[in-house]
Amino acid sequence: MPSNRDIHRDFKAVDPLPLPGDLHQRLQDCFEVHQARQKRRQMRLLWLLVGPGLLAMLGENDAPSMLSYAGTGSQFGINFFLPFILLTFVLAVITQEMTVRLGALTQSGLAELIYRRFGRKWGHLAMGDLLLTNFLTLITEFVGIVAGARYFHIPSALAVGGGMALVMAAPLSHRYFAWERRVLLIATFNLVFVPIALMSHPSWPVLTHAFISVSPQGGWSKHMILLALSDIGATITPWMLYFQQASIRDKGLMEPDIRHGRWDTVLGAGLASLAAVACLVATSVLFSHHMNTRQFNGAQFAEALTPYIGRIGGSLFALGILEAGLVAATTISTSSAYVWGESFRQAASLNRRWSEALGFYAILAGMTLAAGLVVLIPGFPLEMIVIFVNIIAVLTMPPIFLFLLILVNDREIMGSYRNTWWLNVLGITVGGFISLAGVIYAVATML
Amino acid sequence: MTEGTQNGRKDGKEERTDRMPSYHDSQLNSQKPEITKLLEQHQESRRRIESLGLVRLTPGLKWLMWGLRFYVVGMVILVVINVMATLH
Repeated sequence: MPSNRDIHRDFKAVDPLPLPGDLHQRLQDCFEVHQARQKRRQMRLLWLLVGPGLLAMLGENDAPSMLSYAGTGSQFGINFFLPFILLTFVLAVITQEMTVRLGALTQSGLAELIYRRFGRKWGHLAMGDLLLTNFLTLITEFVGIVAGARYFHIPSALAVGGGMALVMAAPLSHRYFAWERRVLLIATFNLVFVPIALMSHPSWPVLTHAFISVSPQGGWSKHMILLALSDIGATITPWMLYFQQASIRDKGLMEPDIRHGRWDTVLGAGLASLAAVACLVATSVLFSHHMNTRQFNGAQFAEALTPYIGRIGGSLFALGILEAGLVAATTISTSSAYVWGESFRQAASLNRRWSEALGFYAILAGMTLAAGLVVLIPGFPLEMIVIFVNIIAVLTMPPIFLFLLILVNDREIMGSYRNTWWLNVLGITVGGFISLAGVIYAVATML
Repeated sequence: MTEGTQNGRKDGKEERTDRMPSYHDSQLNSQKPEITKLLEQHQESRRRIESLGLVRLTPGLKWLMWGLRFYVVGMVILVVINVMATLH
């Protein structure tokens, strides 16, 4: 069996062949996975294959999501919301697992499959939904970056410029695997909310009791419903579906890797839910002290928490919001570029050089640049966008979810991996739950 | 155009070629059967997907798709109205 160095040399020898750059890199990664499997090196196999699920889940713990959890914890405490948030992550695993199978079996992104199986009209509509929600979400990521940086007295323009530079510099390696590891390294900082929660000295009996709560403290209200809906949007969003499937394609996962892809998703959901619950617990200290946090941004939450968790805790909270914005800005802009490339049948891969995939990188950079600049417009109603972006994400989810369900039941595509009846029951339940959440929102806003 | 059939051009545009990259001409074919096998697996998946046409949708599914489309448009309008009302 050749060593890793041999593989790199052999693949270098492949260069004269008319192989596109991304396929070349992908095969190299596949071969390393193949070797690890042959040698039964389980930990190396896991290390090589995890990534898309982790990034989708930790990326979804973005700035508006963390602010949504912070708002929920500070205004309604942890009762009801703690099990509710964990439930939303279970729903996210059910949804994302389908993209693992689809991506590994078809070597295609979700946007490409929608175009192929449903035609251009539905493909364009799905792409339009995604690009609109992604752009709005990207704006909120920069709002989060600015809010987190404000705590450290960093000017908005510098924070936005730094964020844009980081997002655009991430793919400079022209290699998906290197990009993924770099972003994952930053994404693990999302777990900073765990020590912050511990610093708030939560009551363990209260935490235990929260798991069996069926209604929030203070009862149901329109605002509570909006926050609950926002929490669903903080966990299940269209970009995650497109991103994870396209990443699986770009990473080169194949049929034998599906099991690890599932573990990757579960691991990502576990870590992301831990961070979400920790954020909820940390800010519930403000609820106990009856603080009005309805209009708070990231820096204001950090400042309000400082008397209870200390200066270090406050700084970590602000850094957590900043990191959440940075990681999500990276993954969301990449997901937009993937979808654009798949929709217009252009090269869409982080394994490609700039010259080979100009459109792909132009979308990635262009959306980042535009969203960053919007944040710097004086008087722009950013708070409104932050509040409603998660809700819009939930509202645009049902049609995409229906496409996904039809595709994973497509015998021609999935073969023996098509959904079983119980997976369909779970999937339809999730779809119904998301649609119902939208209807409840409509009723709540009309009241 | 697919990943396996694209070649980057100097001007950055993609050029369609019908020729799939062939490993059978490669010296590596004899030296690295694993690589060839992986490439073939990948190309087989791509070929299978490229041969697919439009899926046949039942009338019920078509209604559901259009229903959800109207649901999205209606809801987004509702959100925009809500945002405007909140702003004023």
